[in-house]
Amino acid sequence: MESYPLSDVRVIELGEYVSAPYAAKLLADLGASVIKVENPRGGDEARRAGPFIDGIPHPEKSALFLHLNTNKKGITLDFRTETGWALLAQLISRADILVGNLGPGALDYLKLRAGNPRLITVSISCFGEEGPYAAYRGADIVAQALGGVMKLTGFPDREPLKIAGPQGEYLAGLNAALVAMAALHFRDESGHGQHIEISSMECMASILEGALTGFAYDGSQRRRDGPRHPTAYPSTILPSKDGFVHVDASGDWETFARFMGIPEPERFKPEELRERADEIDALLIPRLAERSREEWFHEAQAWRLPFAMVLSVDELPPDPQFQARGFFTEIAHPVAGPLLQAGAPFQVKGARRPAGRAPLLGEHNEEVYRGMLGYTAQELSQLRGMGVI
Amino acid sequence: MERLPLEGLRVLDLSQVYAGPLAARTLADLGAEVIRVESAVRSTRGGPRPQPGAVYPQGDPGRRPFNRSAYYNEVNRNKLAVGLDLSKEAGRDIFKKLVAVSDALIENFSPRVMANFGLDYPVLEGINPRLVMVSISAYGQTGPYRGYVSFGRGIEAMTGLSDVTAYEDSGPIGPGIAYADAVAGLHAAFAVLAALRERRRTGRGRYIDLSLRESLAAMMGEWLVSLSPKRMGGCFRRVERPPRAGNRDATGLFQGCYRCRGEDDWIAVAIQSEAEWEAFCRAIGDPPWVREERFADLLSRLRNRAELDRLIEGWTIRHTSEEAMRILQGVGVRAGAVRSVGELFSDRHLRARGFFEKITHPEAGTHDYPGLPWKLGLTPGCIRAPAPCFAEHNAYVFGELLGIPQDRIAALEAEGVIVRTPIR
Repeated sequence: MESYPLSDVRVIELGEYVSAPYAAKLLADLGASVIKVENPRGGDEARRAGPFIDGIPHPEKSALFLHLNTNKKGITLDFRTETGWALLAQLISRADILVGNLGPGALDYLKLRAGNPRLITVSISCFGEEGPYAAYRGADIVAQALGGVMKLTGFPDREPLKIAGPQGEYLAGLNAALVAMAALHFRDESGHGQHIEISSMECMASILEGALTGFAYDGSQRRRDGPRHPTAYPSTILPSKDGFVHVDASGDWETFARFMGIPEPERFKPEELRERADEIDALLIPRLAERSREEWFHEAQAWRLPFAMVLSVDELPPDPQFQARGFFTEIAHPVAGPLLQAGAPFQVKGARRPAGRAPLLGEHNEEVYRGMLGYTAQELSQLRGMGVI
Repeated sequence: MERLPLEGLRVLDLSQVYAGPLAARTLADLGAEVIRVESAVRSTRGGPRPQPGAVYPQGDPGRRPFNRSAYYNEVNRNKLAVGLDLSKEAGRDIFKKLVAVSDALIENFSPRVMANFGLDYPVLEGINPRLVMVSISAYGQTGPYRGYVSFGRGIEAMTGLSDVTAYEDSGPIGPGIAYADAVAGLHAAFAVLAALRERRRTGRGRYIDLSLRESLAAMMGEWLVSLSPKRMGGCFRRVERPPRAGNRDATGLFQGCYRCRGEDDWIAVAIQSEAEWEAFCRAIGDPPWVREERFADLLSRLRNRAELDRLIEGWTIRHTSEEAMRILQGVGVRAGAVRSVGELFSDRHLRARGFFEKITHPEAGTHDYPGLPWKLGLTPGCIRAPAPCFAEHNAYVFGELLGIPQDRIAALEAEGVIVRTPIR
């Protein structure tokens, strides 16, 4: 058997949509054996969320589900029935980590942990299990709003913008995975498992790039200002001959001005650059129109200036850097066809688990209930008949 | 003493700005002993002169601005700091001694810098085969862009996130925070912990090559996977770029951000099911338009969204975001006030959960800082120490931990190998 960093870690996922599935995916892609438990009535809601592979909704063709559930085994189980709960307890008795996001109160973590004190349980929600908003209903946009990131994103004279994609959910899943690993370290040292709760609102509020401490220090409120960096300038997005380019002086106005051919750069004192952004943009725009974004990108990089191209998502797969690093792989899927699979968030030298596709709904019921738990084919069909699996 | 999950682990933090320091801070928050190794020049905390754009307590940089920057002090809490010049051989020798007694190393120099120092993984692994090292870079340690530089905002552009974080009718904008840096830092912390778990079994460390761009792309995977059919036949066909959708990028629900009564006051609302739509209609007083055919189901509401947005805003504008949130959440509608940084400090939920912690920094004073975003039942943790002052822990690290005699430390200081204050 191939060995990967987390090959001896066993995880049960009671996840829907993005956060808990992303946490479990991070573990699975590094070798953990993850059993994803889906409800027998249609499964994970991500199966019904898009984008879909050919644009037509189909539970096995949701790109969101296919991305978030690689390398997992999938079973169906209604743990709200008595029989279902007993099955879940059996699964959990042999697990190291349980990660869930079924909403506060959906799962009795205390009861689950009773049979396995070494178990680490991670509960992810928008607001956490306690506090004045604990009973409030969450959504990704709600976490981004209350977490402070929206007020900092978008144009000052228009409505605040969320970061595109369910980023509040992803971020909570990422935090869950890393804290679960820390708790596992503690468990291995001390023998004690524990319960962890993660709130996506708090995860968002934790990454505001120093803005909270800035406010605490001098009362300054950072405000949204389109693509412009809040303090450093130039750092913004402007049009080039054929598309948008991120221009960036990296704090070195002199080099930047020389590179861009701005006459008399000493007119702008370093401390005035940000407040004179309009003037600077007016000088940059005609100059940027002379070349393509790709030319600007490579030429600026030759000067060690951190310019970037504003790419759209569909330009990523053919990108030479992604290609050279083998970021994308192609895998087969029995229903969705050949899939372009996005790669790992980091490369562990010598420990790359080949991408294994996401499970079909209930695909591993036989393997898990018969192979692992020892139920007979007859018992399995009974459970199916009762709607438990 | 209260136990912490990563107690007993030692991490060296050679990193600058945001991604690397956040990775190391995450491990520090969880109980690891994190030692920042800082140089006397070009340190991320700045030199003797105030940094443009930096925020200082009461706006005053003080005599040692490098100990008073809000940004630095937020991402370096719970850490120790030493001053050491790695450009000198004696400095590198001391660093190697630190590596020998450490579990992990986090760095985010441009690729090749560590190799030029003679401190790349093959060398360090020879000193300590149990060492887990993570190199964080913009584009990765290999490939045609390996030497290219970028901050988070450039990476958001290169990953397609700036393109779609935009209004339906605007150009690309991107997140208002260095999101790519944060995401990279958290992935790096996770990677270190996973490699340490493996070490328990194998007794050996790992080298992790983390690219900001790849770690952000992993959180945009649904768009990438959805491109699959375009890949058929072995070549990529140019397809239309995904549309800019503003706040309405989630499928299967109706959501938006609406103006409220106060100044720059907004609320985000997401309506997922028909039951939630019904609850929403009741909450806003069942105006006649909610029964109109054009809003009868999700598809109709999405089709006529401009009209519906205008009507919804007609209700939200009569309330503050706080009132609107209470009313809507009161009937089970997903809604959240769009909090400013200042409003977060007084948010009753964050306060009740103890999200902010009051800490005294010896040179920056006493302030509320955002705390740990997780609740661990058995090993909760907290901000145990403010960010370190420059070279604050030289005596502990060089003297106590490495056992370098006092007179030798003094000699190394005279040579500028061990440093006590930044030069620029």
